[in-house]
Amino acid sequence: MSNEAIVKPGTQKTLEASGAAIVNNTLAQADDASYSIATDGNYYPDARFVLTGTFATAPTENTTLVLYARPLNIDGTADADAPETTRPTQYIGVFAVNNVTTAQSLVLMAQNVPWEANYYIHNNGTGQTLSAGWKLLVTPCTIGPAA
Amino acid sequence: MTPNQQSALEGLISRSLTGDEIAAIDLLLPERNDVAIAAILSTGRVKTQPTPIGIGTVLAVMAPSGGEFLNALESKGATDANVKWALKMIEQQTFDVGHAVTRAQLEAFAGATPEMAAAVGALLAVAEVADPIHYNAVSDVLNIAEGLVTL
Repeated sequence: MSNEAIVKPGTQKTLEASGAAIVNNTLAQADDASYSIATDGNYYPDARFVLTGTFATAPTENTTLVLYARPLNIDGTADADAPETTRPTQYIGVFAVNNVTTAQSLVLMAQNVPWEANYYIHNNGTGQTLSAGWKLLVTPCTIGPAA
Repeated sequence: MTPNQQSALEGLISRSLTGDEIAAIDLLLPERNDVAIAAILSTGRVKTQPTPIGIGTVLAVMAPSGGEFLNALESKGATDANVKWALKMIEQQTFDVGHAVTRAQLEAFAGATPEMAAAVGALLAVAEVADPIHYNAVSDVLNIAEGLVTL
């Protein structure tokens, strides 16, 4: 069989290797790197985000850490405004948390991600602080024909 | 706890924090365990809601003093028009023990009749429901107090 549709992942990039603590109802930028589909993603339109972090006290089950994007260079060199807790700029998706204190690796598939953007994590009502040391990875991906 | 944090929490609950509450919350602030902070602030919080009642509720919750309470109202109703009509409402199961005026009158009655104060308290409690502080409300005021967000 050939030419069937398959997922084609690109090279994983670290957007944040060790983020500062994020208390409930605040947000923080994954500020180690931005992500560009041109320079980082082989022009693949989609991406898989993986957030790994811990809570010292178990968060409320099934509440969310939300991923926002701040698109960059959208009008020449002008960027969109940075997200706020009350305004996401560009909503990407959510990571639903487990009510545990062990490390959680959470995955989020996103389609048609911004061409170039900074990414932010909003601790949206978990009730607890996401401990310092969290990590955010992105892997470009697309669907194409098998060889 | 910084003055800003204390002021924010006291504003949220509309009263001053007790020494015990401050000591307990101090232990939770470094980790910002807002769920536990909200639980401390929620202890004992109640709000009243409209709760029409009748004779059956009076007899049930004021037992064994319910009958005596109704007799007292009937006796007082002979000279007090407000009590007379309040008794009518009890008979019609429309006496709202959640209404502020009703509650004030019942509390006055309890003050004047100490032997029935506990039973009247039980009747007042019928209209009370828990009024917890949600942890997101705690987070929001602390985040502002700590300069982490501006809303």
